[in-house]
Amino acid sequence: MLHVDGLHASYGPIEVLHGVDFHVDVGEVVVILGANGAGKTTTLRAICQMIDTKGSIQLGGETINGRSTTEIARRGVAHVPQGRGTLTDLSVEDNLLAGAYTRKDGEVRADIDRWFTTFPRLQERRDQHAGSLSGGEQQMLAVARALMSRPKLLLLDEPSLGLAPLIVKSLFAQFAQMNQTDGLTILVVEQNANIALDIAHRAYVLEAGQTVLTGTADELRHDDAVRKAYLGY
Amino acid sequence: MALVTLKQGTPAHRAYVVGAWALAAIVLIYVIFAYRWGFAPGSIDKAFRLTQINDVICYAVAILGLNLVIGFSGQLSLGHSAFVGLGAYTTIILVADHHWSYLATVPVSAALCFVIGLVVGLPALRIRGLYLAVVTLSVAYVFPTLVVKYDSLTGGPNGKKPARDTGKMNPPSWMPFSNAGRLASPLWVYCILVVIATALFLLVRNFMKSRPGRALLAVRDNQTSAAVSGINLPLYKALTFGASAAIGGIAGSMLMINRPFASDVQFGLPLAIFLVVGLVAGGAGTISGAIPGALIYVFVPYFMSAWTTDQRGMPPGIKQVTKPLFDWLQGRQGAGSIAGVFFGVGLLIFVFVLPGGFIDGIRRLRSKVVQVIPNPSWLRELHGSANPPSTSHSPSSGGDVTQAAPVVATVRSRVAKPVSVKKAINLRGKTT
Amino acid sequence: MSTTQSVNESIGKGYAALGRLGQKRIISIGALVAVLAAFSVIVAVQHGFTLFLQRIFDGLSNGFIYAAMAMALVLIYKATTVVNFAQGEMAMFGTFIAYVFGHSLGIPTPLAIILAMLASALGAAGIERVLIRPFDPRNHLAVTIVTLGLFLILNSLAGVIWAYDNRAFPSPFPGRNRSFSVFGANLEWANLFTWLTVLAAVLLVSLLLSRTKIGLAFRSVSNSLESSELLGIHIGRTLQFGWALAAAVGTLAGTMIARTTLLEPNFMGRVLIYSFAAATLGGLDSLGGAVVAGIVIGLVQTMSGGYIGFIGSDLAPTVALVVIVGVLLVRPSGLFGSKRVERV
Repeated sequence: MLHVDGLHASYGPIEVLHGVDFHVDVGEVVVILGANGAGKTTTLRAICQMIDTKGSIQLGGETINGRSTTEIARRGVAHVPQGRGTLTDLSVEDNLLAGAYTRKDGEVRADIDRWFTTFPRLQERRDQHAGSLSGGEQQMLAVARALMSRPKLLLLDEPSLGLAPLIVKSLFAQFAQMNQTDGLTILVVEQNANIALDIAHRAYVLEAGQTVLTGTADELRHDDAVRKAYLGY
Repeated sequence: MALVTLKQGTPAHRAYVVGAWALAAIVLIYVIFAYRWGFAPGSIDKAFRLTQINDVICYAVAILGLNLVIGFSGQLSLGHSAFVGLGAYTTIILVADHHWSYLATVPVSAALCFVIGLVVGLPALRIRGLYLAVVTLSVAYVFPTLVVKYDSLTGGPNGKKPARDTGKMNPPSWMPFSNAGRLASPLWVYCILVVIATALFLLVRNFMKSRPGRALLAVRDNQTSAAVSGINLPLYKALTFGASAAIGGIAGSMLMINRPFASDVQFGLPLAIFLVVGLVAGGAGTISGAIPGALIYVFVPYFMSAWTTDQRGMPPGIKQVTKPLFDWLQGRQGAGSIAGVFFGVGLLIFVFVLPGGFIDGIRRLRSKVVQVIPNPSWLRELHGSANPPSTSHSPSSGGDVTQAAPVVATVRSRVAKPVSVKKAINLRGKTT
Repeated sequence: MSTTQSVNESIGKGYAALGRLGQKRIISIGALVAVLAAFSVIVAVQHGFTLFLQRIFDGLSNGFIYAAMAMALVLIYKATTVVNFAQGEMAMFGTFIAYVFGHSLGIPTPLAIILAMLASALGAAGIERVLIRPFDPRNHLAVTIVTLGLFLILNSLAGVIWAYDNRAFPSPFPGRNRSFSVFGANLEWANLFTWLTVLAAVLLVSLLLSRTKIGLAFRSVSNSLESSELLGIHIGRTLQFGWALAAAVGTLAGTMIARTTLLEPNFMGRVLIYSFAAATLGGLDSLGGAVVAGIVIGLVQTMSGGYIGFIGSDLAPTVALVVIVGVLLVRPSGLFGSKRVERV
């Protein structure tokens, strides 16, 4: 579904990615691991063309370099940015409606109800401003909003950041379930390697703007270097 | 690649710099003798054309003052018409009612505008960007209403002018044109204005190279990082606003020296916006940009409205293209305001095509002919030759560093480039 | 250097003290209401209630116009975080179009106004597409200068086409010059209709923003450009919608006030200053704030001009300026605006 080859990306004159290669197949959960500053967030931003890129990014066989962010979103890529990017001045419900902005079918209401059932906390706060939610609630809202677009590919940027361990667990359980029941393809960038590898099929390790290691989740879990650097034992 | 490459500090480069200054001086002096001896081209009224040239000098000073605020400290002020007006009324009131001589009023205008500018500038420390634009635009709108309100002092909508011979500008007998008839007075005014303007231009140029000047540029380019580097100078910013207002006030006084008549409509919102147009067209953040800006401001409307009644003066080539437009304009009541449309369109063209303004365009052209390779004086001093070192130099002792430091500072200030409107804001836009 | 520092510090302290005055919204609003109420009571007792009521009516008639113009300013500010200095001139041009429709083509005035609103919406959409969209929405100075260019072009073009004569603009409402009496004060029917029209426009705009898909997109874009892009919202088209809506509202305000002033290319200048004051007082990013503040500014203008001798009608714009500066010094986010105000 997503093929990235020799990806270079830069913020102004400063190049951050120097050749990143990976691919995500339909129905997979793929995780990208890496330390701070390795270029994980930049990789996701590059996929959505939020920064200047070189190299090839193919989505469903079509090159998407140089397209606008809006257009890529309309092709079924939902991005949950780091820091969540919720629309703080809008109510929870309006956030979800904005998530479904690109949809033309009549099942938007049904989907809102579905995510309200999945995340009951959001239902309780449906008329509150998103800015008044707690960090965990905002993360749920960001995920639910991304899923409102019925994406083909979900990009998650550090969904565990700043959340209590219990919330992180339930969130990742949700991701695993969506992948299994709905066949949702997910690319997740995480520092919390343990939990990310639990739900992932395959993983990549990013170091200083380059992919240095790849394998199935199990292979990586048992790789000595990965274990020392990211799993902490 | 440039045709000629000059190394900074070499005799050739020195000759180039001296030559450029000499050329500017010759042009300025030429005007006097051209009019004196009748070299002036065209059949127009010479005294009138000279008065227009004097206008250009005055507006160039006004734009220079505005540039201190917009170009160099990056705040959008739309109210400088009020300062120009304040200076003008100060002069005209002192001359007409209190029989001062014109020149004696210039320092008074400057001081008054400086104080008022400071009063407006103090809130400007807190009110940035758009809000400052809104406030200053309101100032520009309010000024003429105040003139009308206090008409016993200002003459209100009828305008104010001194009695016929009060403080008239007559050249002293030692000037070569003291007996030039009708041209004598405007020529003498020209000399005075050129001297005042040159002094102000040099003053601003040197100020921008000084410590507070560089601090201002730093604040303009990135407020946050400037603050982080320890530059937090509300006082300098307010003083700059005051100085800019003072220069505007002097420009107003100069206008009155040239044409001793002030009325409310002269100093309203249109002047404020036209000054911004002149600034952007000339080049925001460049000192010399004020001159092309003022030329455009004075001559474009003049020729535009002249051509709406008589198309004969139009340069051939342009004439064929614009004939339908001016035919349509001919005899229309509001035809004169076509200049405003041209100004507006011109402003848009500049913002889109040449955001660095006229001067930026000239510099780009010039860089195709002459290229100056920087070879700062401190490097030359350290090596005792005009050649830059092949390897980078590292000072051998601490004493060396302290000696070099102040020189480094002046060198760095030379790098200040004209700011393009687009860039300046992109850099500063991120602060919340 | 130490003198500089101490001066800097004292300036800073002064601002901090001013800022503390306006820190709590409730207190600011309360103080404003208290001052207005005290002033009302004093002048009503001194000069009689009928005159007071008459001035309220006059003030409201101006205030609703300022409210509409301020709303137009806020719409564009919310969308692009730029103050559209050409807003008044766009409204002026739209009013002239309505005048041409009514006067030269003989279309009934209410219909002419609606057609002119549509025309100015189309025109503004075109302006956005050609002149605004090429710039990065985050590049505020360039966009601001473009709006200044528009100001010049529209003002001068109107001068070239229609010259600077005063023209009477026909009233779109029934009951020309007829009025009724409320506690002895005269209220023209046309004024009452003006209030209602503006109120209807405010209601319509807020429904448009809260209930429609494009309204949702507009609110989303004005909240966060980046997130909106990630949601697949077309930023350009949404901003275009904002410009069109603002221009239509502006033209409505222009035609409402042209009825009482007179129509000429500079007639919106004064209105724009008061609308700036209203938008600033309300908080530049609050629609409701703009409407309330517009009415307050209208009342303040009429009351201060009417009751305070030396202000009269000549110094009324100065009052607007004082309000703008005062609000920005004490409470930069206005009465109802959100905190993130200093953007450039």
